[in-house]
Amino acid sequence: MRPARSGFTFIEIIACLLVVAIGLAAAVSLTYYAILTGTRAQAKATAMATALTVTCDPAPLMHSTTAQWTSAGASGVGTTSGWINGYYVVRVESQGTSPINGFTSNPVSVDVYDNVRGSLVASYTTRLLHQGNSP
Amino acid sequence: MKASGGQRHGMTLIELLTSVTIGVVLATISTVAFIHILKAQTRLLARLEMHNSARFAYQSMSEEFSALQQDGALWLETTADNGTGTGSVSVTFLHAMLDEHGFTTNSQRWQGGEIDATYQNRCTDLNWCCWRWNQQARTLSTGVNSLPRQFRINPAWVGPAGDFGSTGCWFVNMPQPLRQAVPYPQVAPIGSSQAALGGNRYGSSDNTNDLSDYQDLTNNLSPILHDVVGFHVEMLMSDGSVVDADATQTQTLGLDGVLVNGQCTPALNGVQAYLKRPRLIRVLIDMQNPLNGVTQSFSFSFRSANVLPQSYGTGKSIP
Repeated sequence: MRPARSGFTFIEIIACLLVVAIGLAAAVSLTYYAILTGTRAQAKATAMATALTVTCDPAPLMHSTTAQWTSAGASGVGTTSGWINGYYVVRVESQGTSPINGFTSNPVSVDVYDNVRGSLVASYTTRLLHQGNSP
Repeated sequence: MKASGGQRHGMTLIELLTSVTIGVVLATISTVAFIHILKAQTRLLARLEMHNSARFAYQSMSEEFSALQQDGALWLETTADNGTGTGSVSVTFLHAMLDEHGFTTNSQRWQGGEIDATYQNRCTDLNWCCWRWNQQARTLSTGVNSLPRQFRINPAWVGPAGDFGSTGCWFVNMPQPLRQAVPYPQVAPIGSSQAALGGNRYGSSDNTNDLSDYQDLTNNLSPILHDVVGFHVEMLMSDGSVVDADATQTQTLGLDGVLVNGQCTPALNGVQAYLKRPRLIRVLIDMQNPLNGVTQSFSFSFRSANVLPQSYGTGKSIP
């Protein structure tokens, strides 16, 4: 007598597909994590260079047509923010003291983010000595 | 579920169709996700590469520009892009460097009476540095000229005025570019006789036999950044004016250096040289990956060494 053969049941198929789906989700998550890690590595490459640039220059050179940059004005005092080198940067310069006639020493802080509401990837704080209103 | 006769039956048509549909949906989702991830990864890798290159360029430029000597001429040369990718932008300036001057004593000529040998003397020196973007080659190159001063013991040396010597030990000043870009400000087409960057302190013009002159400098340029499709330099001068250099026009602009004794050149065109020295140098580098077309622009700014307060002429002070 031939033994009875049967195919997969519906439950078995669904369970199998569920396992496959979980595997795929895990693979996608891992790849996404790899990309995230790469993005952070990218941030480490030029974020501090960007912070140093914006610290000394409130109006860095940009393409006039695609620039997304709000400048605080020629003196640099105030808040400047925008996109530069693939980062969202916020620069704050306050009116400081005048150590000698004609000069001002202003505190400046620059924060570099990986997105508008992204994580902070670099930060730099210093004081800038200005002669007159020059940057 | 068992059918009659103890046999199990397979799935019903509805179950089969449901399973297949779920399978197809999963396969589609995973394929789309895979393609998106692949694209994102390609873009990310391209950007990572460009960011790493840009960081290297930033570091190099930072070192070069921070060593810029305000007593040397600074030249901006540009060639306009005529639509076929012929643009170029160059920045040439004098900068400080650490130098190993090797010198050889012979016949105990050296005053100290050392034995005859070759000595290495580490000191600070100056040489000419150039950054050049070539639109055709899509490269950003940099380099310095051969040592502008050579130390040697040769009592028979007869060099141009300006060489320094004592008891047979000489600093030979090689034919380096002139520090004064006269007349000032000079704006003349490249190749014209007015463009004096090719001139040198030997007065021997630019030729292949001279070490340390402008041609020697350009021969030493080497590409350090590839896939650069645009390069723009802007300099903020001490008087607040801005000098631009990009591939939209052809020009040679020479900026005089202030004199090494701390004074300025006499007023030329009514402008003191020290006011026309850069205090902020901005560069914009456009990069594009040739394989996937990913582009990224990098903007960096560098502060140059300040020109210290100084006097000029006799009994005058800087206003």
